[in-house]
Amino acid sequence: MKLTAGFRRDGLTRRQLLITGAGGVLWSAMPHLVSRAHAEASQPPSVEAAKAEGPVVVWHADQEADVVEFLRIFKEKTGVDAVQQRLLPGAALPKLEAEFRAGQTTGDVYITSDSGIMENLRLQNRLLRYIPKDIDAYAPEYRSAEPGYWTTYYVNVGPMMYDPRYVKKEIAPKTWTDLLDPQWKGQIGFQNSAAGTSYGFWFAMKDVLPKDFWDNLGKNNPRAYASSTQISQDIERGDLKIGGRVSIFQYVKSVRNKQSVQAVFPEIGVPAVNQVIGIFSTTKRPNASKIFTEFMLSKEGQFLWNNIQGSYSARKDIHIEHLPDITTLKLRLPVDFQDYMRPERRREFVAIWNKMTGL
Amino acid sequence: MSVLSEQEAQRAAFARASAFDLRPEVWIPLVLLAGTLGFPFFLLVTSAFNVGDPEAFPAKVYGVDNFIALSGHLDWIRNTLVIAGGGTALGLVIGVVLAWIIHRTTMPGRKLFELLIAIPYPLGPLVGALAWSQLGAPRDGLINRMFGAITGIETHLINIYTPMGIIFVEAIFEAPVAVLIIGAAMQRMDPSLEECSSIFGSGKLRTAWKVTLPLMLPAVASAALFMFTSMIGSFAIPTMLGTSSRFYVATNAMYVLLQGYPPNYPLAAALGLVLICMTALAVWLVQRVLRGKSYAVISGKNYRPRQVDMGWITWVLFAIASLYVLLSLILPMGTLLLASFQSSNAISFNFPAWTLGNYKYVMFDFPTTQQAIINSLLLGVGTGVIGVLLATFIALATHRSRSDGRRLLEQMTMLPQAFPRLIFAIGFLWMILALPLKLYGSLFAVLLAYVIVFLPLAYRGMSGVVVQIDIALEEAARISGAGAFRILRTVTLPLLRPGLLATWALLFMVSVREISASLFLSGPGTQVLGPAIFSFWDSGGMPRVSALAVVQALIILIALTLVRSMANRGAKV
Repeated sequence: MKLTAGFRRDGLTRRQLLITGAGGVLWSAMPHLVSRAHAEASQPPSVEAAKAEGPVVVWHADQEADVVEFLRIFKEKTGVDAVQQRLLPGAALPKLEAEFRAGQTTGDVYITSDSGIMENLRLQNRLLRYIPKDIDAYAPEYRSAEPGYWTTYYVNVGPMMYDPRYVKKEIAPKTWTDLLDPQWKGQIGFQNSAAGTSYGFWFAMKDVLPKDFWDNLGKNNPRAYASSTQISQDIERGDLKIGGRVSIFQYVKSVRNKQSVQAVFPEIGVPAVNQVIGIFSTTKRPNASKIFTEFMLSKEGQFLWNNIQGSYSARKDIHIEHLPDITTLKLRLPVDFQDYMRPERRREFVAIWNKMTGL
Repeated sequence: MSVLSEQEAQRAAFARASAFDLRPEVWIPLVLLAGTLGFPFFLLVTSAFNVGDPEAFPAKVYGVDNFIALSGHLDWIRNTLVIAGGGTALGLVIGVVLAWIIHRTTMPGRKLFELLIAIPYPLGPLVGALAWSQLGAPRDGLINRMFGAITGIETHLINIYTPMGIIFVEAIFEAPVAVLIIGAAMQRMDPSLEECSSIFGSGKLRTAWKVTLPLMLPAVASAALFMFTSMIGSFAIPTMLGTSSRFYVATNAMYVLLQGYPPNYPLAAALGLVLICMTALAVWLVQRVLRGKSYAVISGKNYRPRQVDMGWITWVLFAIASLYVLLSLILPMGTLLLASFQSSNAISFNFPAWTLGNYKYVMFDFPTTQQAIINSLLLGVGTGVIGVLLATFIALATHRSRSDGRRLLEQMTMLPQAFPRLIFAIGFLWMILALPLKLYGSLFAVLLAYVIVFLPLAYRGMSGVVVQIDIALEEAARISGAGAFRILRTVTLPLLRPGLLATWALLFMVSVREISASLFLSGPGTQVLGPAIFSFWDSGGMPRVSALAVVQALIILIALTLVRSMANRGAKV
């Protein structure tokens, strides 16, 4: 409730701006857009209509090559065209905000590593509800409370990683507090504070690890990277000893490439975040968006996507080669979702993380 | 009668002195620029002083907390100044030396070197940083691997992930601009001034130092200003070489502040305002240096500057030029080529394991590439044409007009250079969404942003040329009865022609390699090469991003060759 009120307050502020410009006209069109979206939400998608709508635009922050490959297969299987745009949350959300205000949206489907952001969008009535046929294959913790707004399309588990060519197994960290050993000074890599997975890691582990863990970790001068690909790359090249939290698919990709990288899953728990998919309420291609979501969450789509990427599906009936059995891992997902979404909590994380990584 | 006339004349003079004489050639571009820049600037200022909800727009609560918070990050500003200052100094040395070698000496192969030296700039900082991260990485960099293999020493020879490494890469990839700007001025110089110096007994180096260089001051200052402001706003090199080694300048800090959620606009905007102040200070300093001096080196005669035979030193100069080409072109492109054949991130010399699959992927399997190539070429041509026309008009207005407000126009024109492009892009996005025209999502919107963003560069290029043309030539034509259009066609434009072509080429290059503004403005259907490569660097792995960078380089080389051949044909006509 508090959050909803907060967003309404922001909306009023922004509307004032719109009124000073050309926004009044667009504002008057919003009720039509929203009602159209609600009407469309209840309608099952038509493949013919989807083809006529043109390519569905998918906003994401995943590995671009993986998304492109998945979209290619999607088109092959369904006949519906799709294009992608890679946008990290900091770029995606201001762009989305601007587009929503002006009523000139370009994105249709949004996939993100930050389920808190997606839940915020739901609270702002910016998501179209569509319940895919396979929704029951997803446990409640992997979908929005009211099913159909957003659903987990993969579970991003984040172990530590190292390359035994450069770090001997005997001295490699076994648990998170081993990262505090001064021998790793300047040799630990994390994604920067812009990554939803970094937030998920901090949030999931903040009550498990000692209170001063992050300050002490900061003394070891960890390095910040824009993506887990870059961390993995530097580990492979020997320019970084330890990946402090690396997305699991980097490990699978390394194994597939016959590299010697090792993943460490501490017994105390390994952080994981839900990577979620939703449809914008202003989509201009509702049929194509629904077909895309349906395909992504289907058994076939889940196998294809997670096999391409090397990640865990939230479905129990999908198994991907080279991934450790998920039931043997002590996963730490964000449990207190209301707290996870709080802007104050995010700001706290950003301050801690930036300080830790030297920003 | 004569007393009355004198009084009238005095009154008229007083009226002229006291009236604000703003003429159309100044106020029209002034209004257009103010309109286009006003909104992003308004966004920047209000955000910088926003101490309430960081995402509220416009802000409700104002204060200076963000600047106080910024005082805790003075290292960002200090590092920015170190990189921009050091990079400019090194780039300027490279630029002056190379321009002089190419245009004023008899060194063999000058034409070829002129072409080779120009190439690193359009390849861009992104390609430079990418290549040097593979050449100069402490453990796995090719140079360090070779050093280790030859000497057996395990310590690295160079580490590119350091402030010195960043300065080095900035300098070698920005230096071609200095060569272009200074070289263009050198080609227009009256050789009799140098001849005088020689007659009075000065040696070749002393003449170069005492006569040639001072005459080049406007061009040198323009080049320095351009490089300094470019490096203040430089994004790709600090991001790719600095961030992972905990080295933050304003731009890579701002990128993280803006990319995270919630984005910290206020702190980023406060940082942006500081950058604007730093740039404004640089512009003011350059104006102060040039004020009250005449730099007209083109007059009624047509000169072909004398080229100096440096004797045995010629071969030293040849070695210097070759070293630059090696460091800025051959090694980086060779490394990218090597990396593009690999199947993993580490470069291996196991030839049977090499693959062309990365090229197949980026050219045929990756749908963004083809569209990005076409869009980037269109934007390059469009930005070049519109930017050159606009910049020429403004340069003529600021240097030829007697209107008031010329300085203001110049400062307004230079303002976008001070805008961090990431922030400008957000403000610009808001502006085009607010316009009644359907610009959003179109290539034209990106074109418009490019023209604004690169206007300072175009203006600096054209201003350096206009300031050197003696107004007496135009006045002579006027006295001979030529009208304004005829003067423009037969006198001004022919004299400006080399500058026009050089500036067009420059705009084409910077547009093709642009990243930071495009990150926000390009979208499905309007993808361009810079963000495509950056995104691949972010998530695609070294072999594929290297292949894409090589493809981009080839496109730029082909385009440049075409442009040069067209320019040469035009020159013959």
